[in-house]
Amino acid sequence: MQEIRTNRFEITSAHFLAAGFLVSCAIAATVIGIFPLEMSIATIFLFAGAHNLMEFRYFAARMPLRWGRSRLFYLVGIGGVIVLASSYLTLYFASGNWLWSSDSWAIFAAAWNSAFVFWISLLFYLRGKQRPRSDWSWAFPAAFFLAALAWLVPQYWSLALVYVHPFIAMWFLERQIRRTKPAWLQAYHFCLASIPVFIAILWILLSGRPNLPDETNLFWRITQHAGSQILPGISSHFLVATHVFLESIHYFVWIALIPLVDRRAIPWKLTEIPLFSKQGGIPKLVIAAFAIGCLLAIGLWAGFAVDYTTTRDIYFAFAIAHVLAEFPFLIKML
Amino acid sequence: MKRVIYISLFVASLTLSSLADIARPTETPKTKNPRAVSSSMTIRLDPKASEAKLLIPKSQLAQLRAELDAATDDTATAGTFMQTQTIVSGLFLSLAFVFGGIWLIRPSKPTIGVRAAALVVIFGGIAATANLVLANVGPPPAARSITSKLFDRKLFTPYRFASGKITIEGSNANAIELIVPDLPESTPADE
Repeated sequence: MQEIRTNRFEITSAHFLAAGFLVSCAIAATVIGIFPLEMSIATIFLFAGAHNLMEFRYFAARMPLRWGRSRLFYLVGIGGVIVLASSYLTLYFASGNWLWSSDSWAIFAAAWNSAFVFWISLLFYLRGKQRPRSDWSWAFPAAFFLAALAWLVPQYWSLALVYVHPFIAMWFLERQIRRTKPAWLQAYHFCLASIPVFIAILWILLSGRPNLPDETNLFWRITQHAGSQILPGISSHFLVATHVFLESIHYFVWIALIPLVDRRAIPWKLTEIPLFSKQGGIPKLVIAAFAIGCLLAIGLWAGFAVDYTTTRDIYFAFAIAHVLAEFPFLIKML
Repeated sequence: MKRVIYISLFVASLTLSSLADIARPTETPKTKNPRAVSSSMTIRLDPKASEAKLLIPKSQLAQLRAELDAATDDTATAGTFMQTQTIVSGLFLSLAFVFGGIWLIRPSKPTIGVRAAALVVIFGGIAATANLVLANVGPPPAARSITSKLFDRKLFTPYRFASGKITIEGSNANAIELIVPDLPESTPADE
């Protein structure tokens, strides 16, 4: 018996995702390529606080009321975030102090990087223990290798973290799509594959351009953050544009795409948060945390409006907490 | 017990920001960059010289010494970090190989595919590093000694720097003088 199949091409929501992503990236890359410094200032002003709030909302929804057999994992995760964030802030704000020589700062910074790597490897190991037939003890040799790199080439290591951070958001989205919208997975992989193409186009167009002006304190901070001092042979125009482009995608993912994929991440659906809605939860604390988060986001906008440069510095110092908080939740999703 | 450990860790993390109760030194060290000493220099090709020689007038040496004495000496601290950096990175790299090796050869868990992937990554990494090292080959021998050959732009351009042994001496002259061995067209330094 013969079966006749007709393959008809149908436009699905996954196609809209891919098309929307590509068009958004093309527009973003064009505008950022032309106005890298201006777009750096604008994107941080508009989205920095908002994306932190959305991340916090997402993590709150993923935090179980009872940790059960994941108790050790969450304790190591939360403990690591607190210890590493507070030691980072100490390093950041106290390094100009008379107690710190540039030498001791370099040693403490490398030690912090090592602790950060070992913390992540421990989280991987603990997560591997929870998964059936999994052993993720490879995380330890990998951590030793990465820690060696953090000591050998500290400046490149720090710069790598700046550029890798936006991809963590994309990894989150990938895991979330696998869980809640598997039909979008192929389209999303296509979107991810397009990012190196956009960066290559930026390289072709901008690598030969002269360096961006860095005579003001703010412009110097922006170019330095993108790695112009560490990579003096590469045009700072390209570096800043690439960094802003990746950061913009990361903002876009947290603010728009993750709530689109996971209804539990929609900000106003507080009943989706176990800590808020389930019996034995802490609804008042959840409400208070969100109220404080909203106030901080508004305060950040006000700070940017009053003194952009100082607020930017303070924001990036405290932003380490959200960078750290991403790891336990991401590893838990693997 | 665990609770005590976690609370201790948390408290310890907070104490980092207190900077301890150490009194401020009576005099904060002031950083002062040494001033440049302006001078003039003569470069002389000498067929009899076997090694480059830099002759600095004694008066200018004294001036340089005075400037250096007034400046903060950062060299000791820079050396400390480099030393720590080498020791710690070497230690971590060794531990990475030890733990990685144990993980690779242990009898049970990783499948053949995982082991093969790990080996590919390790050997790929080593191959890539070897490639980098080879690509970082130094300048030709002629650019690794300070001789008259350096005045040939073709030799100097690819790397835009040259280095080599030099003798520094004090002199009674008024200007700095650089004596460069004047080599004939073909010498062993080319090879």
